[in-house]
Amino acid sequence: MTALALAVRGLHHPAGARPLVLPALDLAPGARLVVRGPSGSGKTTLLRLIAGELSPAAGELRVGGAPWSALPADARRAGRFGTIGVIPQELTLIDWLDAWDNLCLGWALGARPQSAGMEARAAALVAALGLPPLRGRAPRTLSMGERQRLVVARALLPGPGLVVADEPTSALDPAGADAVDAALRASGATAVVATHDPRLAGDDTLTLPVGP
Amino acid sequence: MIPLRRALDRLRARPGAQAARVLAWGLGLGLPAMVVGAVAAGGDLLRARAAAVPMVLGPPGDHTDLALAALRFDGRIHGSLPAARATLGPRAEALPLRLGHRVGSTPVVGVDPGLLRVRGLRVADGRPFVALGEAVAGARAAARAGLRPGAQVQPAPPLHHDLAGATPLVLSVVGVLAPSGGPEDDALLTDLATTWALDGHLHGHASADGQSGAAAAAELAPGTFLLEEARPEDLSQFHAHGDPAGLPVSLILVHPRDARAHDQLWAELSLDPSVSVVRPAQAIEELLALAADLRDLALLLLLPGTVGAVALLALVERLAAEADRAEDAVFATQGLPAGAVRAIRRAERLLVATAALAVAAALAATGPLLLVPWALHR
Amino acid sequence: MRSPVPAVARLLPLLAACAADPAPAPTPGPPAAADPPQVVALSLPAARLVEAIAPPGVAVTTLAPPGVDPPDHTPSVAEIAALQADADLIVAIGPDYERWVSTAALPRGRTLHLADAVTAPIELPGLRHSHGAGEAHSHAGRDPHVWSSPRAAREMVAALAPALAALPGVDAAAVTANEARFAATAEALAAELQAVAGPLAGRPLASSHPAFGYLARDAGLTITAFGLDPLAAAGAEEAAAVQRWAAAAGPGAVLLWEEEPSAAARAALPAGVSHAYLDPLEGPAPGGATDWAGAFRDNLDRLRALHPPAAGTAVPPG
Repeated sequence: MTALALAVRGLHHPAGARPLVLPALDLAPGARLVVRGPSGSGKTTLLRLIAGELSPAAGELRVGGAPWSALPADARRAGRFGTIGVIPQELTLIDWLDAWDNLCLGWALGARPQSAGMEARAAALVAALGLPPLRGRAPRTLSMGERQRLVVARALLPGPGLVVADEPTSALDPAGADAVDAALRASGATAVVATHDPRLAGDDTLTLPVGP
Repeated sequence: MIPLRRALDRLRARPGAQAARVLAWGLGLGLPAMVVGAVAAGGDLLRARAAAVPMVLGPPGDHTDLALAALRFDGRIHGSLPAARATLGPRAEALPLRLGHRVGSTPVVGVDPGLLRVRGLRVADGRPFVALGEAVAGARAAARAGLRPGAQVQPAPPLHHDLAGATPLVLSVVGVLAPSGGPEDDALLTDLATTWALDGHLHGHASADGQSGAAAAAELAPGTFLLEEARPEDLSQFHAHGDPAGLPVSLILVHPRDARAHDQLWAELSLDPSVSVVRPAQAIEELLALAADLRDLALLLLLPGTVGAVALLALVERLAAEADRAEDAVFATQGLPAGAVRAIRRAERLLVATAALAVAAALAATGPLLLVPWALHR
Repeated sequence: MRSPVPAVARLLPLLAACAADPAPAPTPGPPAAADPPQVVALSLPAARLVEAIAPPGVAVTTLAPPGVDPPDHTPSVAEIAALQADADLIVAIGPDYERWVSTAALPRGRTLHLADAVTAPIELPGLRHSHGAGEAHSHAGRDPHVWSSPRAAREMVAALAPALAALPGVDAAAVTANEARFAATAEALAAELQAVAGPLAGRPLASSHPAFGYLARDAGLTITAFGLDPLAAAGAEEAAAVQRWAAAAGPGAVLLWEEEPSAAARAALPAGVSHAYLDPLEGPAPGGATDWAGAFRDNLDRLRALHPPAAGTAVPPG
């Protein structure tokens, strides 16, 4: 039996005006869960818990069938690269790296050795997302749309099995949004996407807050 | 290599901010080092200069002024002694100096030619002065003014005016001295008689038709004028009206022949109310001790400023750290190892520290050189 | 108590200036005592006085070359520079004789002007004359020919002795002994001069060169000084002056030449004047003594030769 890509049980964590409560959630590999809800409903908190950036106050998360939330924070950080791709809402880029090295961030900082396969995948993502040539390009010269597509590519480049995305098309026009949608699907990763964009349809929808 | 390469990328990406950090640390470390180092090194060299002059005789007045005048050829001491006071017999070699004349900011010092032998001064280019109107330039004075043998200079009118009228004499530079570490380096040395001519105590005459030499009258008469340049054929015409033994000298460097002569002369001259006598080494030690006390007091008074400087440094570092916080969130979110990021930050701090230390070291090493033009041209 | 702040404020930039010095100040001091002391006399008269009391081991050299009149001599730049650097003691008669010293840069602490030690120097009115070859000059100022007087010579040697004795490596006791011996000799010569001059009192004497003023004063004689060239006929003005003097002097007038006069020089002067040679002691006399005392004794012999002959003795032609 194939392990669930993501399994959540009895999740409880402070978030905004009311705590985030999620009794159970199962995602099969390759599925896309769209998370909707008003501001302050805990969407970003849920994504950060799934990414392992936060430890839940109560409950358990398992990724790929293995304990995830129970791991120490350092282990979750170390295990995140190549396992969970994170597309945050903040479009922060590293200003002392050019746009290409921002895309290949883990390799640029020595977390992984450079390889021809990585370069080819990066080039394919640049083309798929309609990005301009990135080598030698200063991040501050990119438009907001380009920055957002670069952030998406950065998350997908390591080939993660699970992707958490927080409003990944907020700065994109319809063509850009379609490109992001297509790239997410083409990656084959299980996706948890918090979005108000109706074009990002999922296999399932979770509306927060859960419960009365 | 990746941490070092990325650290350099970080420095290049924020040149202004990084330069501010380097300067803040460099100045914070270097300025105190510059001042303390310059004062310490200056104190040592001042002691060495003072050790080269066993005793100084001068007109009644401040002993510190007299010592500094002898060590710096500072022409601001008041009064003078008659040249005859430079006769101390076989117990000492007495070297009179006449101060107070300048070419631009360079003092023109009338000296006894014996000074060159006593102080071991060597002519590096040209020859020593041998006659009235000739001068040798100290090494730094020559470099500053571009003086070489053959050059001519004209001292400014003297600060003290002679009733007979000062002679605006043109001096010929005949030699340049090798560096000595003494006040000669920054001066033009000439014979005492030349400075007496500059004072107006000595002068030469020529007839209105330009004839000079043996035919010139010894007294001013219609059709004669004062010579402005001491050419070799005119030297015989220069003369003083009055007893040369009474011509003024600013101070006298006294080099006793032995310790016994030193003690005898010190005892005798100390009791003479018509002169001031000082041992420069002793005067400088007293002055340096006082300077050390004032320096400590100044450091204490500067403490609030130091605290402010430290606070500014802390602010600079905090601003740098805050800029890093946003990056840290990205690195954490993307699952990049904290160790890799720490290595890059360490490399960056190392580069900033190295640059700051270089700035501090440069200030400490070159600080005295920056202060020299101001100090020497006062 | 005066505030030390101004002094310290002046000190601080000096400290910074000094800190830029490339090397420490040199160690002062005279040359090594192992080197024999170098004494340079600027003229022969000065050299003779030095040699009269300098003990062995002291190197005495004379700057003015022989045959050159010291008032006309100007040493080269290299010679003056060597004096500055190498001479431990520079001995001159003074700027009235070695005239170049008045504008030359000589180390005052190591330079001795012997004429300064002479009490009651003779002031000269400024007689222009020539010594033959060379420029005519004037001795306006003080009569520099002080060495022609034993009393003045004694005074000068007395001033020279302490300076010589203070030189490193010099046998000071020997200098003192030599000075005492010279003083006794000078005293004796002064007495002998008085004896020799006695018979010449009242005899009209003149000189071709103003070199015998001090000798005349010590001897109680009157010697009228002219400016005559011993190698050439006197000009009309000089000859007329001699004529006037000879006419007023009457018979027995003697003109003392500092150098054997040529026939032309003698012929230009009145016939009734006798000519004799008296050494001005400025240069080596032909065949004469080389030391000061010996040269002075030679002059006493020449003066003695001017004494009136004893009764019955033939008078040699002048």
